[in-house]
Amino acid sequence: MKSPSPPWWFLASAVVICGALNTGLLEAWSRDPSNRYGSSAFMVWAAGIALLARPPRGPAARLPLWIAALAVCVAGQLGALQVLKQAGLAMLLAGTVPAVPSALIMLAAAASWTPAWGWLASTITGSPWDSARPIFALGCFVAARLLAGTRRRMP
Amino acid sequence: MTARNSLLAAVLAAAVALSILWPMLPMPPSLLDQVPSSAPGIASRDVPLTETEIRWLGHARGIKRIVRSPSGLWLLAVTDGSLNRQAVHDPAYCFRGEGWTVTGRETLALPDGRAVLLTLEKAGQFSQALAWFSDGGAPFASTVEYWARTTLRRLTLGLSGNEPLLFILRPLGAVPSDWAAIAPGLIGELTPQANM
Repeated sequence: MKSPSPPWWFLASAVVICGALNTGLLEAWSRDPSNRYGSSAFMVWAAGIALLARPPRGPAARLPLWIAALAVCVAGQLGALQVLKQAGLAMLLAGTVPAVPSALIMLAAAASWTPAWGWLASTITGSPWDSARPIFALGCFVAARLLAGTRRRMP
Repeated sequence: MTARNSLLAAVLAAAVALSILWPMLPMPPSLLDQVPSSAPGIASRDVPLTETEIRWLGHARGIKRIVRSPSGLWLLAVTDGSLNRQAVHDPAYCFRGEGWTVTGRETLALPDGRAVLLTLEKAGQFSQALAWFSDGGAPFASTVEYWARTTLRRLTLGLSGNEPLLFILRPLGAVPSDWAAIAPGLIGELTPQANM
């Protein structure tokens, strides 16, 4: 029996929806002095995702993860909680990385472009560590790249 | 179109519909209009918000008052994020935005809740500010708790409680030496009580 094609149209649509729900990030990056490097970190992170992403092997592969990511993002919209929306977007895109450890590292690296980074760093250390954002994203990408292909992959 | 694809399309449509319609659903009014402007021994007058403050608030609402109490003269700022949750931040964030360095952060235990005392410094100038959140019940100091309560309130369309307001109180005269003695009375008089 011929398998249905992987639902890439679903992923593309979910990325558009999560992206639209996260447009507040642009304002945070441009207006908040402790988020100045957030956009740079996002570009480094997104480029890393693009380099690590691979098509899923099975037709239903990763679909539950994509649906969960969309649900998290929409829950953030309903609850007006930006960090949930950002987590949903990060889950969705990091979920395109096939190697599980690499995907988890890229998920953690997403913290670098969120406003929560500055808040958390300021609360703990007194400094937002803003310029460390793209460096952290790059470091995570290098680690994820080194791990990719050497560990178990998602289907 | 297969059944699976139909289901996935329905998921996408539901996500879009919920994202657009849910924030438009009516919610109970906030407590901002019930913030007391006077109490025994306490009088206040409203001060207009600056252009910058209005811009930062967006659709959120806020009031700024000069408060005279037996313990001194104060500037009270109250922010209601009902219509723009992002206008309410960790109180320390607001002061960093104004160029202050937050050199100290201490949680004050109150008889019925908590508040946070921030110690601030800017160009050799020293100040302090008292901040707390309240939804009409016990005051609380945690920003994470604020996020949890406001998120739950929106997800339940107001059934979980009132929108917490952010209160920031700054001395206009000398910085008090004994906040622990002053804070409970001031917070009690300046915070609205919800009708449970």
